[in-house]
Amino acid sequence: LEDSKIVALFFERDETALKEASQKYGRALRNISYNIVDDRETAEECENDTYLEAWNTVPPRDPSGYLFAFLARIIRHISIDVCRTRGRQKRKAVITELTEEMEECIPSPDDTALKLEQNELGKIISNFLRLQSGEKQIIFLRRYWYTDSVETIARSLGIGESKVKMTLMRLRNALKDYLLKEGYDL
Amino acid sequence: MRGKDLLDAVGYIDEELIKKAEVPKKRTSALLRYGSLVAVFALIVGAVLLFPYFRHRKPPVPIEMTDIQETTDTEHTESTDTTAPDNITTNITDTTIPNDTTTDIPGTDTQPTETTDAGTTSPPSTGLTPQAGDWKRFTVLGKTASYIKLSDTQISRVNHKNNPLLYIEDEQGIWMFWSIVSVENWTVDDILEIYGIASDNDIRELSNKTNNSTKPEEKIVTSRELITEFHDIIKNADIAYIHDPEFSRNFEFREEEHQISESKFTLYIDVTTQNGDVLSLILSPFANDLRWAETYYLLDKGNGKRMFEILRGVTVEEYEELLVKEAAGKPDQSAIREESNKLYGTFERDPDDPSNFLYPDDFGGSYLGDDGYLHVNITIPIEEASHYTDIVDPSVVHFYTVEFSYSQLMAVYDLIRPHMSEYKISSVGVATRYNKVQITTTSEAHKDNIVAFLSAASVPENSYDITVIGGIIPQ
Repeated sequence: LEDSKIVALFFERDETALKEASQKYGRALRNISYNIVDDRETAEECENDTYLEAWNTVPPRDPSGYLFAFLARIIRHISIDVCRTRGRQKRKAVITELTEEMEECIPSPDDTALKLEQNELGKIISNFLRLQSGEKQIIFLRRYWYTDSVETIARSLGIGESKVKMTLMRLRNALKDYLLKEGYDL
Repeated sequence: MRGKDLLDAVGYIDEELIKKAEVPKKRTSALLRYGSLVAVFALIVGAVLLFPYFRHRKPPVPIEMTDIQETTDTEHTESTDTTAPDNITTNITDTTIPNDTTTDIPGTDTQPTETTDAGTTSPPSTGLTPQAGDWKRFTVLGKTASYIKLSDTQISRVNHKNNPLLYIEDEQGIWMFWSIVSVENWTVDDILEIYGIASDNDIRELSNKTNNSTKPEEKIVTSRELITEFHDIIKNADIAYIHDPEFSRNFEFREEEHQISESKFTLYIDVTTQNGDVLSLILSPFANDLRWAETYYLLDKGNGKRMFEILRGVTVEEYEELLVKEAAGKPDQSAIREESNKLYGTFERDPDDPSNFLYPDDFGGSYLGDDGYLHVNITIPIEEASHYTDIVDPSVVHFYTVEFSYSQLMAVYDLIRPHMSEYKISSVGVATRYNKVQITTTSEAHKDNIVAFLSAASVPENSYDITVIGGIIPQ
């Protein structure tokens, strides 16, 4: 079913919207969550919560043109949140590690309130990524969006771990420079 | 701002970029790529053709050796053998009781073709059927997720306790069979019955499609001839479920196998009935990692549609690398069989149907426990059960006191069984292990109706357990 029709079902409060969304994107969503929480059962919980969240926010939200991204964003957020709040130590450590790596990208990290909306910041990072090569984009996204381990990224791309680490480090530095250069006061 | 905020903001990266990174380009060996093709082909032919391989002989008695038993067929077994543990193993082509978990397929070198009853005849040829010789050996590796561990992670529990998982090894890989309604001894016919499909005439059309986005195809089959053929093939086939005395085997994979498969195509066959209900048969590769098993039953409710699926794995490139570890320190299966025979030998048989036992009121059923011992439930204190305890070897048999007798549970089962369609019950069975009748239905409303029905019949609330499957349906 087309995304727009699935969203239309949400608007009509038709429960088959959930089924259709699950059939179309369930696997991909679970994969995203599983990557983060490393537990199938929890991933399924996150998936359920995602549908619930979608049910509660559509309407008024209308993600017709970006349903997968919409759901994926929700499940990623929920999954990371789960890891932060009740994840096993190992998973918490992964999120902490990712957070620390991200902190390297921030010109002057502090506790001040976020001056940009997260979706605005997302667009900025998107623009930054578009300046990068395809492989670099994938490495960045697999690491910070999908939360893959360096080892997993290396294996899936058929490259060495050291190359992945080096690329990530350069990307972080480049993102930091980009944010500074573009005058974003974070 | 903190890294946490930036990490969260990454979640708002544009969709096209995220999708681009969704499936990372992977360098695979030619063998793996070939394996993927094989898997896809296997899926295509498997939809119709796998079921006949799992035609199920009548289970040997006594049936309550199983954790859960599901159909009335179990009470009409033809065998007079009383070797209880035998029910945990089976042989597709042989109505006698096998001694191990290796199941030979008809026509293979290892075991001559032997058609011993109507249920084990060769499937009708469709031209796509893999020949028997293509299948050399099936080895049952485990029964449920809880018994199977990977090297670094344990497969999650089965999504519902009535969902048996079956792992089968053949020369190409591991097959995982799983069904939301495929409890042991269920036949496809049982499922069709829920959908009111008594004959091929009740099927309006078939359709199949895959989720291969690069080659989306949906084929609608309305030919009566093909529908009849399809129905003939599946109607008597059993859902794959084979008891395995070696539940606790562990097996390990190479780390490299824990990768997402490139051939993530799922094949759906929808059987549409004349009144519009749809029974979906789903065949899905579960990628290169057992952890990615599908759970498509989610949210599937409200339209009478239930699903079961057969998941195919092509994970093991070189089979020698699949390490199977035997569980140690468990009683010998033949010893259990012997003790079980002693126990069941004390039971009287139904004069009208000698294949059935007349279970004593103090007997709560028996099953093979996770610990490998024969567990016998009794409804009386153990000190009063010398008529049982004195005749069996305590080093093999463990006794447990339970509330309900097996006969009582079977009475509940018999009560609810005729109402499966009415209450949209996808499974019902006596779970000896839990001393309950386990019922699965598809909505809270149906659950309420079942509760009302059983309450009206004065069935104790704690003698049954009703599970609603279908995921979240927001109120």
